[in-house]
Amino acid sequence: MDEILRFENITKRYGKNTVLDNVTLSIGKGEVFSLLGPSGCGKTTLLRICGGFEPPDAGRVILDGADITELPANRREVRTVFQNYALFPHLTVWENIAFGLRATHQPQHVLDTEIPKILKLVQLEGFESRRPAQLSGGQRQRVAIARALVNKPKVLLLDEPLAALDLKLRQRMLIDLDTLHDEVGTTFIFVTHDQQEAMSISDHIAVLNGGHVEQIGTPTQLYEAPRTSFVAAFIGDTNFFSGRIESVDGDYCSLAIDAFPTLRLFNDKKAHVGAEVHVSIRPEKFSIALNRPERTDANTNLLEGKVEEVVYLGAHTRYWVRVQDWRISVIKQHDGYALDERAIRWDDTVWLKFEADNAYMLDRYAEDDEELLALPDL
Amino acid sequence: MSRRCNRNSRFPFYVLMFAMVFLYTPLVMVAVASFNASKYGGAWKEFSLKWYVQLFHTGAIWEALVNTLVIALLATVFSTVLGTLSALALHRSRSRLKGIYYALVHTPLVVPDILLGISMLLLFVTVMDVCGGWLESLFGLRLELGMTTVVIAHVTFCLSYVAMVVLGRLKEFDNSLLEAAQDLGASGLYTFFHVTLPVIMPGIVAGALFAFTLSIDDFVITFFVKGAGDTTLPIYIQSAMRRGTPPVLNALSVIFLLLTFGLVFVTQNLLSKGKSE
Repeated sequence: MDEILRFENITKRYGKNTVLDNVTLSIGKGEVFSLLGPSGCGKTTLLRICGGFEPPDAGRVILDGADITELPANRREVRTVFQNYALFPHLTVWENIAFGLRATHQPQHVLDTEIPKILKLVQLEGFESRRPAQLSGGQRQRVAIARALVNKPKVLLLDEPLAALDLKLRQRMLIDLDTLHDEVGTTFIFVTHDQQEAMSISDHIAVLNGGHVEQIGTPTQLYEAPRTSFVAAFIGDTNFFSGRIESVDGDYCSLAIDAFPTLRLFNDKKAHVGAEVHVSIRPEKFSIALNRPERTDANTNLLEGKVEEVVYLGAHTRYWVRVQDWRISVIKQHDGYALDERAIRWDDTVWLKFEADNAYMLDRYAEDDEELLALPDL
Repeated sequence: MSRRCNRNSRFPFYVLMFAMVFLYTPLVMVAVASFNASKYGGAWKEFSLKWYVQLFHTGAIWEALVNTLVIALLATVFSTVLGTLSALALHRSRSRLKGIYYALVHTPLVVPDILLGISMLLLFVTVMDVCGGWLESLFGLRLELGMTTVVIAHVTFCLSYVAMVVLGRLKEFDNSLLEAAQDLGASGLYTFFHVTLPVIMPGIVAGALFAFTLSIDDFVITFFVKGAGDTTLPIYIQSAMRRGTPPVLNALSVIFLLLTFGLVFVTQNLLSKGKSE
């Protein structure tokens, strides 16, 4: 994929507080790229640097091969959809969309052809003469998007565009945004703190934490192969295990864990015997059963435990299972008719099974990240 | 159930009615007296419009009215421009002295008129003493108390009111609008004329109307800084009152009152319209 935008070693400080620490990112032409992270991770600052509202302390912004670091905001070919939409309250929908074209002195016939086109695209035909105050939240957002897209920018920046909408509308707008992106093909940079939003719309996601990039990848890569405990815990839910490699045979190894059965794992990091290793195992990788299941091969792990908590959620059920000193979060999808089975209840003795291939070793682990996990206090 | 916080109590309503009566009785009295044919305010004689007719035939009143309107218009224009610009500067200021600037702009609102009048007079006289001589010999300009000094004095106190109203409007101004305009390719000047100015316009117009009303109304400050022969409407009324209470003044008051009410009504409408957006 051709590169359209590149952040090179961007650093930004406010006083002593380093908001962005040597951030380098490359964004491909026509993709939806998400900047994902908790509040204060620097994602909005990065977006504002791209839009030209804040200068970086160090580093460069390259748009389509040209250095735009020093270019003022009104001369950059990027447009922003602001979090609060920032529609001009004194102008109608039509005038709001026309603003950028007029400010850049486009001839009237461009306005007359482009604006109806973009209004059709965002499904706001018939709303031309309304004021922003007369629109619903979703309509305002569509005006903001139309206003930004009508100038045909090279990159569209969306700053938490769905945060102000309620849940149902948010899900619909997400699909609309995706459709819109398919139609216009403009590169979208999407800033969000909501991992589900980012996962469902993005081609690539950069996970930011404390001013640095934790990991860049496709949604599947981030979910299945998180490199750090932060990514593993921030995207979806997981179980962390820490132990020492006991033996290595071929591609697999055995991990000795304090007060826990020894686990068979795929040794993707080629760790040596004696190495300390941190592992992330997603809750749905475990299968849970009342009877001891058959061992498929030597790399199947079987754990016996006791159910401590059950949360039924319709499509699936979450269990917290005590295995010796550890508590494991498990998700069971109900792929059969749930009423036909003997339900697994609190205090049942159960068997957990997972294949060695389904665990993932972390490059970096921080104990604080465990607080991001949804664990009930028991 | 507590009886102490009875929401249905009619007591506040009665107090409000009392306040209304208190406020408007004098005005009603004037209005009634203006239609009274009796030359002496005391007793009702019969309904008549003769004071209104007489009002339109008193040349001095019309001269005073024209003076008043010219002063008010000039004072409004200058104070609106200056007040709006200073409000914009104050709003943008990141200075540590911002609080002090605010206080300094607001102070003339609470300084007694008489103090403003005296200090203004002192200033004008001093300036005339110090540089009146060489200004006249150099440029042929003659400095003296007159319409110009009245306008300058009016601009001074109107400016504070305009700045206050515009600042109120600016407080609700969403600064991301400026970034949005810039983002869409607008220059600073284009943004000012197409975003900032239209959005705060209700505040500016309200401030201007405020200034206009205040200028028309002012007696104390005008009295100090006016030249010997100049009369504004309030000055005329005051001097006429000293020579007795000609009933024609009642008619004048009623017309004046209606004008002021109209202006206040428009101002209030503009301010509330601004809020609802």
